[in-house]
Amino acid sequence: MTFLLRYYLVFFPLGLLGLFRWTMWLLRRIPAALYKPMRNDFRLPLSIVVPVYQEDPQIFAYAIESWLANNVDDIVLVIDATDDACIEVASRYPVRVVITDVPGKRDALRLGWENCTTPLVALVDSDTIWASDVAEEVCKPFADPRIGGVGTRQNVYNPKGFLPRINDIFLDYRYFDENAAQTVMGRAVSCLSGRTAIYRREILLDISDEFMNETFWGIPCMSGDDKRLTTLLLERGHLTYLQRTARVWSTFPSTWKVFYKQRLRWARNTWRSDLRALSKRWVWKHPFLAFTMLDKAMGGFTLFFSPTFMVIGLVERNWFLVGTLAAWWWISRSIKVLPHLRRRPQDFFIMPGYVLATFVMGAIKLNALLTIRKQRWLTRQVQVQNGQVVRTTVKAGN
Amino acid sequence: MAKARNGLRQALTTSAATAAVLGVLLIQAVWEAPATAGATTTAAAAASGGTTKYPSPTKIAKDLAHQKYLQQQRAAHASANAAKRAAEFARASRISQAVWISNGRPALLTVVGPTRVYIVRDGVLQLYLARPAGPLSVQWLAENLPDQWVSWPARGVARLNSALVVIDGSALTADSGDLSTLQLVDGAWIRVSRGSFALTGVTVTSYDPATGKALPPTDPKRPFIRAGRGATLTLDGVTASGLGNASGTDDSGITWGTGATGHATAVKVTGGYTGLRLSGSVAVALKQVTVTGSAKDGLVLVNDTGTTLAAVTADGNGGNGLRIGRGPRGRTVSGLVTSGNTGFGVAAENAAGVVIDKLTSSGDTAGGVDLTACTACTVSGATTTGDRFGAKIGRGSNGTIVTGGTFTGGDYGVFVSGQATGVTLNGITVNAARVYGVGISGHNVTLSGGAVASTGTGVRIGPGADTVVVSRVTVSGGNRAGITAGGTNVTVSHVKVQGGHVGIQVFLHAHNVLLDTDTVDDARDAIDLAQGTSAIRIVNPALFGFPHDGIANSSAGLSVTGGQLHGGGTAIETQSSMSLTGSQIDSVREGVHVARAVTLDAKRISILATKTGASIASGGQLVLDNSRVLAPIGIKGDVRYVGDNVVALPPFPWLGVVAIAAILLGFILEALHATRQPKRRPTRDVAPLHVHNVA
Repeated sequence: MTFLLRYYLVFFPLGLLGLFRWTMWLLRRIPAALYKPMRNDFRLPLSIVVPVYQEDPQIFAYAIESWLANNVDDIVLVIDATDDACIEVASRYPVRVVITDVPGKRDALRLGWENCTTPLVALVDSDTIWASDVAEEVCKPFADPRIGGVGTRQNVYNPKGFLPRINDIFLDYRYFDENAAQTVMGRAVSCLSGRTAIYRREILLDISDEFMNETFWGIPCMSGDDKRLTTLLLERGHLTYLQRTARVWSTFPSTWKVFYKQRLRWARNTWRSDLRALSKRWVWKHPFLAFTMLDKAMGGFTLFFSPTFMVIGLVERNWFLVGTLAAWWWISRSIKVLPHLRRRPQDFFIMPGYVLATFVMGAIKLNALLTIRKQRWLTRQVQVQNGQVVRTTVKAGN
Repeated sequence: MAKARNGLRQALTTSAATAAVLGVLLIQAVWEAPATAGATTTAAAAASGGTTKYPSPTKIAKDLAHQKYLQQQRAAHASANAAKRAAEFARASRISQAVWISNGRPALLTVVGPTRVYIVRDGVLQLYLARPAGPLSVQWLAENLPDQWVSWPARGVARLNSALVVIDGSALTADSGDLSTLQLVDGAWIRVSRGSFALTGVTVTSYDPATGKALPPTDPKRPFIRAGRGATLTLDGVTASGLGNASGTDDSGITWGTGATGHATAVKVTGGYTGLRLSGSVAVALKQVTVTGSAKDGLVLVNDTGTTLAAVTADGNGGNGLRIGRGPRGRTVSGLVTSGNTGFGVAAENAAGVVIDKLTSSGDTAGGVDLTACTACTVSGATTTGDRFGAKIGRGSNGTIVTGGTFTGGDYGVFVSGQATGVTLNGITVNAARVYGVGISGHNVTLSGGAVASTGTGVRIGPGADTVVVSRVTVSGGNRAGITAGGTNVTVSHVKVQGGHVGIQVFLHAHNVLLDTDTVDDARDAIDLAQGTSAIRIVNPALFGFPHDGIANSSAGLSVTGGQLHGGGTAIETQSSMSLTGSQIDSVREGVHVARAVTLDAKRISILATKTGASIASGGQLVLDNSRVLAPIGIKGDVRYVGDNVVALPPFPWLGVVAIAAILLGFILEALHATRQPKRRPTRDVAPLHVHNVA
């Protein structure tokens, strides 16, 4: 009887929860498994717009060289007036440099695409290094005139240490699971990552004002530019597409402090964008997109059930439950990131760390929801004050 | 100068009483001679002065008669004085001799009386001195008595060469004014009888002139200090070393004897035979006292009344730290700290009503507390560490209570011997005992509350034990067992046993044992009942995580009622006939296993097993009455059904199957995805050379 009670009171709810989470995952994973990149010979002139602010000069130089290797039509670097080092680096290459003294990434992006003339504009982060065929690959989806924006597959640039490797797993999970499924199920990728996203310039000009004047609960938004651009595209009826054959690499934080701040900023952006989208009609025209938004929102909460059972098991010294749950975490998470483990099998051994990182991410998402109105970049010396994006004091040594 | 005066005085007054009388007569003769000569001279002077007027013959006759009268008066007076002095000397002799006789006839004796100080050699009074009023100091004795009795060998050092007795309300002091050390040579001692002796800030030590050091404890005449009836002995800031001998209990160190009182504050006693002894004393207060290195016990309390202890330490003594003997009820020893004593920290023998409170004992070789023939004694809040016995309740102890306290390390935490009765162990904590956490062999013993942890056996109830109750104790068993129960009339109830080879073992012909609502967790065999035991009952057991057997039974007639047996090997393995009523068995490999020629009567039981519900050897039988058995293999062997029974498969493990299916699906989807991807140039060919993450 006790066994049955335990079965129904503990294992059964835990199993139901697992079943639910796995069903949600399968609903993404099955279409993701059917994903194929676009294959054609379609090509349009392409410009690259790069807002530059306090970038590592070496990485910046690598990035410029990788963009030049793609033979794009134009490269526009919008560099902050205070960033002398990057201005000096840019001066060594055949690129256009636009100096701006207006703080904030959004204004730099707008300045960039307004300075371009090509039909396609790639908005790229200054630390993002391209493969030599990115320009060629990202043009292919635009053969479909409904496609307004295209995303690339991204990975961590030479990951070393725990956090960069964990971030590399998260990126593979995103591009082999969520974004791939969204591409297959309606060509509506929820967010074309700002590290490299290609848009039709005419659409950018069309949504420019809305992009620049985004507010959330009356407060101007500073970060989350990529999510905002993607949402505006989708809202206007354009489609977004993941072209996974286009590969880029970007740097990621290696300290927990920066990792926490970056994830907190992204989580706030996601909460704002998704909550706003789910309250509007257009998103329901993309039911799979709506489903993934809801799933992501719920996943933030259901994530805590499993550790709660683990704590109960530890307190009750129910080593069977503890052992089973720990083994299940390891195995199930490994299955969910199987595309990454095929690429880097040695990362199987850091899966326990990955599991713990997902719990930390869950806590960060909860924190982000509770502080959703805060507008701080957190990793840059800019923030919104009195409705304006302003520079904040640069700390000594930063 | 003082010593010179004393020498003269001694020369004048030595010898016997007869010699003294002769001396007085001689002095009278000397006195009368110049008196006569004076008279003659006066008459001559008067004559030579030219006085022409001669007195009349009548006048002369009258003067001569008067002079003769005066001479007679003087002679009578001198005779009376001599007689008086002789009487006084005789009285002093009687007094000193009486003291000498009553104090063991020492060769040299100094007697401090209320008005005089007497010195005696071999029982003969040598001298008596008038002494100043008020307390007399040892310094005064050293300055005024012959060196044979008391000497002043160095600045600040007084040496007592004789025995010394303080009598009749006299007060003797030794303080740190001019005195830093009081040395007592071999054969010297200090006794206080109806007087007082106050030592303040000085060092008192035995002294061997040959070595210049303290005398060894084997010396039969090693000095001691003893306060007798009506005496007051006070020690303040005193260091006493090398005192006491083996010749008599009251000569063993510093002793407050019968009727004596006083105190010791901030006192260090080292190297005594027995450090401090309170034998029949009244209201002696010991505060900040440290007794170390005694040959025998550090402190001894016998027949003492109103003793108080505060911050008393007994360390490294050859016997017990504190020994308590006979005495009135209600004696309390509180806050004692003992360590490194060869005997026990505290040993109480033939005592009654003793309370030992907040004892701290560590490294005492024999143990922390020993109670032998101690009636209604209480040990509360004791802390022992590394003692062989934390507490030992020995033979003849009756009504002993051990309450609270932590007993760590050693062989036995608390041990109740076979001849102890009526012992209560309440809320004790035993940690890391090597042999038994608690060993019980006595009668009418109760162990309740607390926690017991042992690397051997947690609680052992020996075969001679009778009427033992163990309740609400948490036991962590070690290599052997959590609880082993022998003896007769044993109840183990509401006990939690964690780990161990066997949780609860009933063995050695134990009879009438009740295991009531006990919990056993993670023991190899939760309960083991040996052959030869009888009248064993188990009520509401809660047995979890037993890798081997939940109940391994070889006891005929075992009765198990209620309870749950969860997770493990075989829930019930029985080699003898038994009954099982209303028990829940789940998550075990095998529900019950019945041996050959054995019958198991099972009523209203529930078995949920992962392999076999019940296995009955040939010749054995399971009587299943209104029960349920869920297992892949329900029942093997001879079973007789009574009433409604269910024998079926266990619930299908859907969750596990779904989980495995999900994992497989994950692999299948990945394979599907991989096969659908177009072939293209390797990333290595299109990535910049400095990019390594291109797999």
